[in-house]
Amino acid sequence: MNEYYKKPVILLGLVAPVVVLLLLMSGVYYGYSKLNKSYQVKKTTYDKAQKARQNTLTLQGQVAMNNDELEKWEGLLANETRGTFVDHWKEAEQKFSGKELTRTPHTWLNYSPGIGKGIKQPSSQVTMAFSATYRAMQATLMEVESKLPQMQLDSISMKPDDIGGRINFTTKFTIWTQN
Amino acid sequence: MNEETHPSEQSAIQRYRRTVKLANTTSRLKNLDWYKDALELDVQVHMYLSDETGPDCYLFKKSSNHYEKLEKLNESQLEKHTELEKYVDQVLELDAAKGAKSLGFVLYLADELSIASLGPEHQNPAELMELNEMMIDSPIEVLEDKTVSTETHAWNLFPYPGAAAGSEFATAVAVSRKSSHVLEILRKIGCEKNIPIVTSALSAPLNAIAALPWFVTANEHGTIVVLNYRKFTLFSIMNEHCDLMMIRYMPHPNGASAPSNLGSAALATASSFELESPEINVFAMEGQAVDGLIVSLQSSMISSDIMLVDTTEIFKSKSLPEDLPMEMVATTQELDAEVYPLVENATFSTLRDERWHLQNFLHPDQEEADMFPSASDMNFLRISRKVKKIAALLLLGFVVFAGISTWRKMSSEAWGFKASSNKATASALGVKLNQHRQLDSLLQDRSKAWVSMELVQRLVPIDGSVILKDVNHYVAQKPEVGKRKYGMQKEWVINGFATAKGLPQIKAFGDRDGIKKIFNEVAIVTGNEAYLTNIDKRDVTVSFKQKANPLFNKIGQGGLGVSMPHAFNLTITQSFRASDSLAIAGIKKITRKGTVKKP
Repeated sequence: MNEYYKKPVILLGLVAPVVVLLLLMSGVYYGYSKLNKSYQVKKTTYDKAQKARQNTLTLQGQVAMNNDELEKWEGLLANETRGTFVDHWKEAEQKFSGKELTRTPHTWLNYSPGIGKGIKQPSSQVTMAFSATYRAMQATLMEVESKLPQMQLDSISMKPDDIGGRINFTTKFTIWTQN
Repeated sequence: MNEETHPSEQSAIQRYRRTVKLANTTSRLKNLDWYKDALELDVQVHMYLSDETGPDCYLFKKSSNHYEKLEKLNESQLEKHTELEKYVDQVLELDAAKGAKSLGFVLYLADELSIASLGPEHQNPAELMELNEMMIDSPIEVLEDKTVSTETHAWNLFPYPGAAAGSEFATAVAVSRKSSHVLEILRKIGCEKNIPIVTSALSAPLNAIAALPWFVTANEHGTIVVLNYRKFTLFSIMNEHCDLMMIRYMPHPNGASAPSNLGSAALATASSFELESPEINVFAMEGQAVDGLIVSLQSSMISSDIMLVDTTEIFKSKSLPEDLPMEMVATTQELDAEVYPLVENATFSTLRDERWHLQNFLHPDQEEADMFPSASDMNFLRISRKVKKIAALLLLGFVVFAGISTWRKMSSEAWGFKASSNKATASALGVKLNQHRQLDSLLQDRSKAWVSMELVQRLVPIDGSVILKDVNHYVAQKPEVGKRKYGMQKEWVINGFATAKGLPQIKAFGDRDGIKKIFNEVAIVTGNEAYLTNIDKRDVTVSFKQKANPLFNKIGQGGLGVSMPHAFNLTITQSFRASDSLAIAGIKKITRKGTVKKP
């Protein structure tokens, strides 16, 4: 190479332009990387929000699906009082004569020392005594327990009566009540 | 920018701009012929200068091996730029030169020659190449005669491959520089026309020597070649292998066509090389009469064969123009070694390989050469342009990619998205779901009195062989530490009486299989899953105890069961783990086993 032109051609013809291009490329790359990072943060937030939205939709679907049932249950707990509870028994007892089923007065506890103990859902316990035939007692229990699923049996004792061929029953139920 | 400014007076930026300007405005970047030797170009003008009347000119087209005699250039034309330019234009308009992308001008200097011996300190044949380089830069250092002019004459070395050891191995050859300006004008015309015009000035006698294999053969007695030019005669003394041992220059006296005392000079030269009767080949280089010269030789070299070589016959046989100067053969033709074995001897193979006869005596001076970037500079500029283009394309590609990518990202939903918390909604929904889940669990048929009575009823045979005294059924929680639900345990304690017939029947429920069977029957009949025994880890255990009935009497009077000889106790226990589907959900946090933290 001609010594007069060698360095100018190498430095100004190649090195300097390539350095400028590299600087430009680095600048573009830096800007692009910065934007990319910003986008990744936004995308992560967006994806999380979308996932949360999807979860909410799923929850809404489940809640909607359960809503009727929940309302029915909550209505059951809300509407049933101690008075209506007795009404259900009375209604069931009417199917039998006094010889077949006799209910003695019952006692209430404002809490449940049985199944409801330590459970967040409020409950109370009712103790009831009956003198009845086996068939009448079982049929009455089946009717009332079917109507009132909030009844959970804590105990039942059966002992034949000395007279009259009937059986003495003593029952304790935990009754789930409204919050 | 002044185009005439020498680069030494310019800054680096100006020199670079000059390079770029030359690359952009001339063909120096694309046409590599600018940097080739004149004899490498396809179209060449060979100018044969033997006297002051001007050179005879010939066109040679290398690709088609075409020769064409051109109009002779006279002295006046050689002096004038415009005339030479016209001449160049005329040449380029010839059919053979049309479309030529370059033009080589080869000047054969046959009008003058000087030879000189090397200095006594430069007598080592191994230093031939170094000496030749020194000849170009500082010939006086090499020559024996220190008074020679380097201003008016250009010097080169020419070797004697046939020289005996201890003899002169090379001679210095000089030609006048008076034709330099003609070649410089031609090169300038090339620059002006933007077509490479490359010049080369050769010594005609040296090329005539290089062309000898066409015309002579080796002779066992040695060979003397007499090249008779218009103004001088050159002796070439060859040994028995026709290798050059020496050349001798003899100028012609004023107006003479041959040197005086040629015969005696030939005899003395032959004697000095111990050649008794060498063959003598005489060449009339410009077709002039050489009778006197031959007579002079015959008178001195009595025993030698003296031959006048007729080049026209040989050229004719080779389909070459008959009037072609024999020097042109050396520069434009290659010889077949099988036909002309002489080309393989030491002298002619050296000339062919090392191109001693093709040395350019009249190079452009350094100042002229400095005005233009070299082929390497242009080549580097070309490469750098490609590199820059590629780098720019890469940058552009990356910018486009980054731009499209950025546009896509910035126009995406994610870019403009502003997060809003839906925790409250989700929380409310979660509460609803938990309420449902809890009630769903709490309201399950896990403990029903009527189903328990169904179990008891199925334990007792209908034939009256078993009477129950009392039945107690308890349901209790069974907490497990760390669990979110309570397990459960149910227990039935049944006391009764049995006849001998009834005892085995009630006893049949006193083992695990028997009681599980009756549990599963109850589950199927009532539809109550709590009595299924094969779910999760539910377990049913049973114990059966029997004894004699202490109230038994054969009369059967005195109360319930007195007529039955056997009494029994049947205790059934059913366990549900916290993982069971009927486990009780929604418990308060358990702090230790069996205790419940009060709210």
